[in-house]
Amino acid sequence: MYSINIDKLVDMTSKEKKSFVKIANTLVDTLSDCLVWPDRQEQRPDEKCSIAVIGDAIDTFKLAAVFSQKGKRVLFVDGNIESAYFLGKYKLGKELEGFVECVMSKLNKEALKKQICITNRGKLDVLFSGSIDRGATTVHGVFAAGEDYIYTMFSELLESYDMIICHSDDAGKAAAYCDATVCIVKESEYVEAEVLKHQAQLEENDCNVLGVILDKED
Amino acid sequence: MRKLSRCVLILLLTCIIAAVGGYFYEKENISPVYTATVKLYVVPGEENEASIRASNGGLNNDFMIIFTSNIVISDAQKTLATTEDIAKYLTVSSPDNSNIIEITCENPDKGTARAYVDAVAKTAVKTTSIIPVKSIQILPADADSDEMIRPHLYENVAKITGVAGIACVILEMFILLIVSAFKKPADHSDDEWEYEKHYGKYANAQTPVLTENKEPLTKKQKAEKKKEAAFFKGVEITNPFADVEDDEKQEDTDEKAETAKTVNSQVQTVEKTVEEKQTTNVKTEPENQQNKEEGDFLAEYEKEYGVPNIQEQEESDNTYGTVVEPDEELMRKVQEDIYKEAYRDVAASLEQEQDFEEEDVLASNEEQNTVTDAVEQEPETGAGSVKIAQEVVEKEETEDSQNTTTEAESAVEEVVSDTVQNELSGMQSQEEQQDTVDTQEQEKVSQDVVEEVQNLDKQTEQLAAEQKQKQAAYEQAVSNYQAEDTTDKKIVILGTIQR
Repeated sequence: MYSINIDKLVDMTSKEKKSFVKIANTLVDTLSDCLVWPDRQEQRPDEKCSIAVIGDAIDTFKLAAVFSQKGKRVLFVDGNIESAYFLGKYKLGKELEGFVECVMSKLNKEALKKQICITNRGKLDVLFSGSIDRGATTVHGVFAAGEDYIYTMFSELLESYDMIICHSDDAGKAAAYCDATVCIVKESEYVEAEVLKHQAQLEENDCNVLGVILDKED
Repeated sequence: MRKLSRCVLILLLTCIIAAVGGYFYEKENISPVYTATVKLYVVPGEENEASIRASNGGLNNDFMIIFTSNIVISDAQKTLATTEDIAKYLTVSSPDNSNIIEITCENPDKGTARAYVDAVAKTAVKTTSIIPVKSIQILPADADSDEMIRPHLYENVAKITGVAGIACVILEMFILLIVSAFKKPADHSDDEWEYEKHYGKYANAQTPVLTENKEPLTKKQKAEKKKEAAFFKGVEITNPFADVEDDEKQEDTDEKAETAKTVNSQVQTVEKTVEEKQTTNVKTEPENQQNKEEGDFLAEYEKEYGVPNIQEQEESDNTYGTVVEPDEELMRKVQEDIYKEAYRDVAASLEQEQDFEEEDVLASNEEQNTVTDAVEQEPETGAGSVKIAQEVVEKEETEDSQNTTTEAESAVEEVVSDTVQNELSGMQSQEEQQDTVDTQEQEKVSQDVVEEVQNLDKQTEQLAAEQKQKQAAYEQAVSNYQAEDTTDKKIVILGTIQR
């Protein structure tokens, strides 16, 4: 068990914080409708759910922080194992185990807890991506190995947490295992046709796309 | 070494900058102090000379002690009406080999310094009762002699420079340690370092130098050396790795050598024919006579054609396995040799014919006499007429032989000229044939290339057309797909992140 300070990462202006809180509320309202999936025939107890976010990693983390500030126990999972953004951000090196190792080793609940990093914000924990280089595998290899296990893993984790916010890659490989998927798109790069195309691709990959969050830059 | 020199340079630069900067800084910050000096002249007297004289020839420390003592200072304080400890501003000294005492006072105020030093001097003059001297006199002081000084200026500058230098050294050491600790090891995998690591230095490897053996060579060694030299004659290794060029050159030289061999063989046949002619026509004569005649004809030949370079030809004959190039010079030499031989033969045959003529004339005269005698002796039998007929036949034969010799000469010349011309024309024709063959091949190749290029152009045009069709179909499909998508689905905007 190790801990990190996330104050710098989740530092927001009041305007930004308001917008995130608004988005979080919208998501909770929307999620209540889609927690029961027709495909999986499974219902999350006590509104426990997993949300995948495709887009900016920091914004995803801020969203997780906002959820935790709302009183939920949140686990942030860095499922974008190709970029391993947060390992680099905290300069933790490639030796640190995370999502990749959990999937490849198919860890049980107790072992999973050991892989989780706690933060100075009490209700927000982090599961880092781990390293595909260290495991001598590929992104496709990880998700192929964990095809069945990732559902189990998320279910077991949701026993300890109210919500899982998973940062997924653009193809939605990790997002496919979450209850809902949200895309963050920069407003300046927003093209309706392309977003629709991306949405269609994600849905083809078994992602339940809730909608798009526009990132309005100054 | 480079790093060390850099460090030293940085250190020097830092010290210089610190010294200059420190000087100006201290000059600005240190408040000036004024010095006022008074000189006292002491007349010791003969009896006191030994007691007041110091080893350096000046006056001893008694004066310094007494002038800064309370006896003098208290009087001076009274004179100045001050309670300030004047002694702390005073410095008393005596220059070497003199009877002078200098009293110097340092004070931030110029007037105070002068007043203090004057007061002390006036009081000190009165101390002759304490110090056993005859008299003490105040030397008149120049008011402009008062100096303004900045105490400890250079000392402080030196301190600043030293501190800066030490700090620089520590910093350099620290940086060097950091650099050496965290520097990535240099990648030498693709340079000679890696090679030298495993196989030793090759840059300094000494190449073996071939030196001449100065011991006298034996005849056998000389002969072997000549053979080697002859074997490698004409072989020049310009680029040992240009195999293709070497092969081409070798082929050319082989062709040339073959042509040269054919020329040589033909020349030999001509020589043989000439020798045969000689053997048939020339009768045996003493060798000395023959050599003499040859010498004469050679002289004539040399007059006409110049001295032929026979030595080179002989040397080339001695060599074996050499590549002989049928160049123009060689052809000229061969031609000269052939002409020379032919000229010798012709000359020899002419001489022989002259001899034969003379002998024939003599013989014919004798025979004529014998015939006439026989006719006279046997006019009726008819046997004499037979003999005459035989002689006539013989005469005709001799005339024929003369004609044959002249014909042989002309034939030899013709043969020689024909062979030489044939060889030259043969070589030219071969080259021309080769050129024509090459040009034909080149034309064929160029035609093939043109056809291939045309075929490729056609193929590329076809491919481009196909690609255009595919692109158009793809674009159409994409547009249809987008149109379908946009009609069916909508994007839900969950919110906007505002910064």
